[in-house]
Amino acid sequence: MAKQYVYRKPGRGAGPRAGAVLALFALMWVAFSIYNAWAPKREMSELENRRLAQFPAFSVQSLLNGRWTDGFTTYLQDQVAFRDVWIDLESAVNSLLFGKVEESNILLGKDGWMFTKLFEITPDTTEQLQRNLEAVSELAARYPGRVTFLLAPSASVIYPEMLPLGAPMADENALLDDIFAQVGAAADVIDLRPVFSAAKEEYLYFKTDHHWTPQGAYLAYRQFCSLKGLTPFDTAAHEAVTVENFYGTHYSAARRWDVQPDSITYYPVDAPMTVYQIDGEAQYTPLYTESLINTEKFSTRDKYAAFLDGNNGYSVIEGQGEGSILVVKDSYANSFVPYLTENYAKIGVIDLRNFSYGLDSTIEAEGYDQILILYNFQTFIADKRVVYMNRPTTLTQAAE
Amino acid sequence: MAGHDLAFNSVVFLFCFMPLALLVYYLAPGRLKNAVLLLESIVFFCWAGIRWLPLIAVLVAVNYLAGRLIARLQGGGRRAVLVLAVVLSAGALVFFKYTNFLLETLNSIAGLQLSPLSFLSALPLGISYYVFKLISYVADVYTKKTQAERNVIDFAAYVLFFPQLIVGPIVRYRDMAPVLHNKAMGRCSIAQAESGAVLFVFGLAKKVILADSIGALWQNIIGADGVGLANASTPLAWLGILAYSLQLYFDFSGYSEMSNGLSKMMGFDCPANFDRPYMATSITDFWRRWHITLSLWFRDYIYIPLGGNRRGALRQVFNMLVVWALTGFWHGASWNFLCWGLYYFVLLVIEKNFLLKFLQKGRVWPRLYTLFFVVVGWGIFTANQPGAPLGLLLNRLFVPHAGVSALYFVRNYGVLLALGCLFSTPLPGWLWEKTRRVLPLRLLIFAALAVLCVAFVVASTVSAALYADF
Repeated sequence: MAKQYVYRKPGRGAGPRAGAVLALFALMWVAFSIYNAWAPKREMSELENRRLAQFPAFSVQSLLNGRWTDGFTTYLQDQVAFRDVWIDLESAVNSLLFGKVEESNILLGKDGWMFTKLFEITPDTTEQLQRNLEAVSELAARYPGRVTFLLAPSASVIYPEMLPLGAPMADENALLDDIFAQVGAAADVIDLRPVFSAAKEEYLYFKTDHHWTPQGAYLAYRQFCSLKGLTPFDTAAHEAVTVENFYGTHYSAARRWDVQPDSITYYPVDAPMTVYQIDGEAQYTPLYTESLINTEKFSTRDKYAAFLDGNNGYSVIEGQGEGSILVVKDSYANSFVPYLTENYAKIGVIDLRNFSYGLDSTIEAEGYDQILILYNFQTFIADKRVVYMNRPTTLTQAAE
Repeated sequence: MAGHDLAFNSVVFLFCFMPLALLVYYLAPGRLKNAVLLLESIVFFCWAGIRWLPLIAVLVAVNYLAGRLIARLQGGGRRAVLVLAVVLSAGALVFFKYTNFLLETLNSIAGLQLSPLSFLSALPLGISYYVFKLISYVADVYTKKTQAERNVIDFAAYVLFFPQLIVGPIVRYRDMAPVLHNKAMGRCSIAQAESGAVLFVFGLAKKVILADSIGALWQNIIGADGVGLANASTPLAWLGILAYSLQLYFDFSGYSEMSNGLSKMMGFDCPANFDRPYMATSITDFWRRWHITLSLWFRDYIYIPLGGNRRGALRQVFNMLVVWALTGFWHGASWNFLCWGLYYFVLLVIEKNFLLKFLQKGRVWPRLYTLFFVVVGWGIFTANQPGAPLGLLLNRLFVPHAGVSALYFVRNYGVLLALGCLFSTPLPGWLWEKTRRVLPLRLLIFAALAVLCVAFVVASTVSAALYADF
């Protein structure tokens, strides 16, 4: 193995100097190792949207059972100097050099589009979906004529031509057909595919994020209005505000080197929203009241969280319309709900991921006329807490 | 539960453990180097907790004493000590690696309800490798191929040698002893350290750039959220198993090169574990090129002691059967590994008896023949993975099926697969040798590769916490 070549030609100096590559290696490694130890450490990674590991607390026991070294390993990898630059470099090399069209489970589509990779609906997910569908049907059967089920399709269903070549996406269309057929027997359903496909020139989904845009939400809202016979919020009568440079969750994961940042165009609706602390079943204490669009969040990375100020367990918005509606939802509803202030006097919003009770007691105590269940396909099929909506009302203490 | 082992391709190893370990090792005076090495290896060994330290300590002590005794004793006593030491070492391996598998097998054969031993759920770190090192040591002392080690620290440093602890290679004591006994200040020359550094970085690149990226293709098929092998079209199934074959090679040979690179930087010249196995011209040749230290171990400590080919054709076939059944089982406590070993036994018997002389005449077809059987062999090798049952795989490979097309996967992994094939040939090594004369180019390639490796190491730790609040 260790053959040593020595090239010496008359009239030329020594050929290859042994040690040049070694010197480079030593220099690179020593310099980076030292810098890495000294470099400032961070609490949070805004890009990855998570807290980074900190230096682990030391104890002899944690050292002997391997926990301390585990913590130290995670600490060093989370806090490695230029972490974001390294990740960007890897992503760029994968795209440019290796021609990859997928990064961290995000498909890098044409024209800056990014999509969640969903190649297979696992048997577990299929079972969960069935349970969730039964839950919605069960709720609808208890409140006949009052429940609307709006399930937003994934962007890849509306823009399949933007997917990377030949991407074997799971057949969401067939599943949506099944879902609407099944729930349609008990509740009003809104299938957005025809409207969205017809309006696909509009800016319906973010390219860098897994949400729809406020425009997409508005189109869905118009469908809801025509189903309910309501007069929709008049966009011509309001002035839109645009927030530029939105780099969403798809970008955070994939770090696409040629990213095209999104913009968020919304209508500043000034309706007060009260976020409640959930003390027990149907027992709420107001935490704070603010506008339903928290514009401060537009200056952070997680801009979509401005709508409804993120995903709160229970909040109530005062609108200018009549009657009341309860929205049971995932984050797709956050940019949808502002339009409802035009039509309802009271809009309750429940996110079951932060709400552990059945809906019956709240519907009764707060007197909601209408119930809108609004999810996006990808959350709905996998969310384990959708079924909480039917928890029996007799339950009086916190379940978890 | 215990933590994680210290992987070479982690930030903590690359920029904390390795620089410190090398620095202290270089600075240590000659007669302390082995003690330093041993201490570093103990830290490495105990990275995931001290749970298995007593086990390796006992095995080191037993084999150290056995070596000394064998060197002193004469006649039957020597043999008894050898047998005792081998039985203890091999017994530890069998107990810790195969007990639960045996219990399971007994349960299914005899309908018993024996519950598996929970403390055996994790294999003691590196036991498959260091037990083989120990056996080779006592056997070599017994056959007088080497002298017994007198210094217990030197011996322990050989057994626990951290570059070889997790995935080998299985280097013999007699190959490492000369350097271990070199008590001079500088154990390695500049040229040796340099080729070690190059080997390390190239190995790292094979592991983190090629193996991990290409391996994702197979996971896209058989993984929990993959398209599912049952849905894959026949071309996709072939593409998948090909990707898996490349992944295995770059993963294992990359890790071996990192190990040998580290050894070299510490002054130890260890034999290469892989020699472009996918260029092999026969299955016999393949096993001279794949995991060489393991094949040689089985040859020298099982096959030849059993009589090799010197006791007649029938005995030779039997000896091969033993070797390949053991080789299979060594790779894991599962039936598919035994099948995989026996598959090679059959192929090798056929080659030995008549095929080899035809293979030696061909130029291209022997390579294709070898690749075909090796790749199908990996199908057997991975058959214990959920999502890749052998029957289904063979069905998808050999009965033409429609299904999820290979198009997307060719589009996404095409360049990497092509690079994988290219780096299975001697060409990149040859080109690298050519750059000897062009130093700036050599430095540039090396630096770029090192930077790229770090990028891939760091990027592999991107957290999936993004979707906690979808």
